[in-house]
Amino acid sequence: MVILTTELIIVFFYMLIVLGIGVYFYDRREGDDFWRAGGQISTLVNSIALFAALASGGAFLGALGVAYSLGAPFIWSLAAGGTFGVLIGSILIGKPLREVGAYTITDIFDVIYKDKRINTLAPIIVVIGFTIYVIAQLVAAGIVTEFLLPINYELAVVVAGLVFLAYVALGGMWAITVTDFFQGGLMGILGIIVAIFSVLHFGGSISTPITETPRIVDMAPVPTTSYLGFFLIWLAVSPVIPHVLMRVFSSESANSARRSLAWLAFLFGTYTIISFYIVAAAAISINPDLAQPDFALIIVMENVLPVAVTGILAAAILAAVMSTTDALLLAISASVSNDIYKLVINPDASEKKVVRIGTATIVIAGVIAIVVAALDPPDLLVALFTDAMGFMGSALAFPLILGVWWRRTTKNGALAGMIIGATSYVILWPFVPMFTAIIVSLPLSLIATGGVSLIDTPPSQDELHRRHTNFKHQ
Amino acid sequence: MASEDQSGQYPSTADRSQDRSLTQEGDEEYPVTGFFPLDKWSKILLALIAIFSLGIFAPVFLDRGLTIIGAPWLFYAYPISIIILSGSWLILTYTVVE
Repeated sequence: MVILTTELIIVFFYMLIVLGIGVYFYDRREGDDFWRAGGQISTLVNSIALFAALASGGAFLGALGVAYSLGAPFIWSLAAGGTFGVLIGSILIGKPLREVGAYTITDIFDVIYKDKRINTLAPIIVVIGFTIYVIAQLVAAGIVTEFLLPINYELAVVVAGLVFLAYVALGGMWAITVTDFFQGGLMGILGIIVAIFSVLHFGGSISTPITETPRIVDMAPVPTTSYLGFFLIWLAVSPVIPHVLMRVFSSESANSARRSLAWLAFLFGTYTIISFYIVAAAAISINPDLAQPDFALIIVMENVLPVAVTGILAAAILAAVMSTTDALLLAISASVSNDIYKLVINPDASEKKVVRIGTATIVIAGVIAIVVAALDPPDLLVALFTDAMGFMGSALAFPLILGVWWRRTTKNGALAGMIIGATSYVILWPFVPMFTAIIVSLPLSLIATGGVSLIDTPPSQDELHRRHTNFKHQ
Repeated sequence: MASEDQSGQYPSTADRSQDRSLTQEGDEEYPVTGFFPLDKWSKILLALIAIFSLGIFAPVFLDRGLTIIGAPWLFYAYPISIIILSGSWLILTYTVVE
């Protein structure tokens, strides 16, 4: 009971701190500050905040659960796809997009295509994909908090959800960057500590798990195409995922945006290689028959870490969930207020009104996600948010990347790529093995974007001039 | 929806960006095909990403049971590829890539 009290106190103070950060940045609610922190975030801070945003509660818990039950090679499909995708983002997306001074991915589509249909469809895709992603994060928060603290699952979801809903609504990008910086640091330190103790659990050897817990290196009982699909989903979505792009927009310069993404690729890749292997192997060694694989990390920490660290563990896991969810909520909010309301419905709206609508959107989306996560929690965390990302990547990757770099891309081509990418993923999803819909939907999106662009009237000189100058192409 | 102004700039975001002056660029004739130019090192890394991706998956699709040093091919191919590519690009962004 003493331990539980200590855990509660640590988590309570942690939540007070993040709320305090939201209140501190309450006066920075003008558009440029609220959406992209005035474009002043340094490479160091942004790299760690990006890591915290990408290494979600799902990655922290659910992915370790997948490694525990299906082996490291399967979950490394996510690690490799995410790392390569972020590298592509660093090479092709970071610098040109930071040059524009945009707030959202739809702003970028508007620079490229200036098409009302695309400006409406893109945020709708983002809102659908991210709402599912937020639900998955809240479920992760609920099951971990329920396990660690003497409160039930529903209450855990509501408390955690309300806290980060409040600080995002209050402080916008400044608040989530500062909190994510600390959360990223906390998660990184915790990850290193757990990995070290896991290695010590195997007598200081990193090769022992191969013989002692061979399940960790085995191929999973899923089709080989599921490995490829898992890889492709994260490869496609990582360069265009809106809550990462919004951090690109907040970088202090174009070069800083590129370097932040390069650091993110390295940190995320290294962290996932180590953590998904050695920690999951330790969990198998301690208890090979966990009924709930998502608790693999908790089991390891309970068995290999000093007891006093469990309170910090609770805060760190909540940090992993919060740092992703806050960024997701801000991206959903921007999609509705900045993209649909400001760009499509009321272009003359004042910045204050747009921010007010954004704040209301955060509250509405957050409450919907809390209710769904509390009352009807989905079973498979990783599968849930990975499929949401597959849907988003299929729809957005080629229309965005080709629009930035291929001169011949037209608005009709991009629209066709979005529609065919999204619909084919949704249609195929129930009928094909896990994660494999993207093997068809992504090439279809490419063919649609490229094919329709080629038979369409080429972009005008004005359109090419706009892309050339805004993205500062050489 | 915001409309384009005469200079060809995007008004709703252009005022947030840095250095938007066009000078004489507005008179430039742009080719309507091909890609905008990309630096050499970026092209090399994109090619390496494609090659490594092929190198990861081609052997598995040819022989799912392929093992090296007692473990499946993917157990070694993923981490080696991740470290080489992400480490190389990180170094390049601080050295030769502008």
